Amino acid sequence: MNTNENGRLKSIRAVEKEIIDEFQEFEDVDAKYIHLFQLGADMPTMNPALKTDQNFVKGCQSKLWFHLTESDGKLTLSADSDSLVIKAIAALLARIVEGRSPAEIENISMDFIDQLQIWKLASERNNGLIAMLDHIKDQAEKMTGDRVID
Amino acid sequence: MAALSYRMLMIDGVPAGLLGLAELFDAIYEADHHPDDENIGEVLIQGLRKHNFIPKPAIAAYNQVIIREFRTYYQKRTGGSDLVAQDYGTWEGYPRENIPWFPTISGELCDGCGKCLEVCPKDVFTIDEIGKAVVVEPFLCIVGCCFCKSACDPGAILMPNREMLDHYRHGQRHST
Repeated sequence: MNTNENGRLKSIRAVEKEIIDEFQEFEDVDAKYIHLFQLGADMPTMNPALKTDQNFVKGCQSKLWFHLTESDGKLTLSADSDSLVIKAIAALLARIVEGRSPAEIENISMDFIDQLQIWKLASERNNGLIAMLDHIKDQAEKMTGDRVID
Repeated sequence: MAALSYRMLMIDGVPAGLLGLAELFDAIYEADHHPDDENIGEVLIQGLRKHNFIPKPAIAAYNQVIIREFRTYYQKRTGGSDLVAQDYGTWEGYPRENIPWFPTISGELCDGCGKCLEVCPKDVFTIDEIGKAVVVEPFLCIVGCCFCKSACDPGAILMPNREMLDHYRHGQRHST
């Protein structure tokens, strides 16, 4: 959960740091990947009906679906992918997104991924990762827009 | 007689198991051969054929890979770094070399951007002399990972289906 001992939502940076610290506990890259895959495997199964064109993340070479839902102003991200590693990255994003408001999503970046030391390619050069983040931000922005119209 | 070393290399897009490669490199290095020698391809193929079958039509493809590998070996030797036999480890109890999980690259689609080299933490790829990415160490690839595929903008990288791995997981479960 993204809440601290006082029940308050942790900041995005705090959750990112938690993830970075978690990965630093593993000595080698193989152990990091085993952990990463486990995070993907542990992600709740996405309802197949949600694998729509609208939820399909374009620009990622692997198949990936994101579905963002809002309840009482708090977001939840569900995802599925044919790639275990992409699903694992989605699981990390879901952890960061959980419980935030649509407006907060704009502040999420993929920079923390670079510090996990699981690959050398900078996230800003990785179009797949950029597409993932853009998709979530677009969905969140639409939610914010919908609320303003209401 | 001590067992010969065994190493899998990607030759022309196909994994090939080679016996005695490490011993061959040792021997020709000791015999003062250099990767840029005019006849190095011939020397290497001749040495390889003592323990491996190499079809004539495939000699050029073997040469391309073996010379590159010998160059890497030579640089390490002359650089003084320790040389150790390649150990691919195991996956779910199987020798890694028995799991056909590795990328294949379409030379036509590859634009040589090198992102796969950057994204792969295991040095599975290299760029060949015509500027295309090639797979050189298929069995260093992390089983289940296909991040290189996701990072490849022209879509030149293919990976096996994830379901293929279930076959190995189930096989192990039934055998225990």
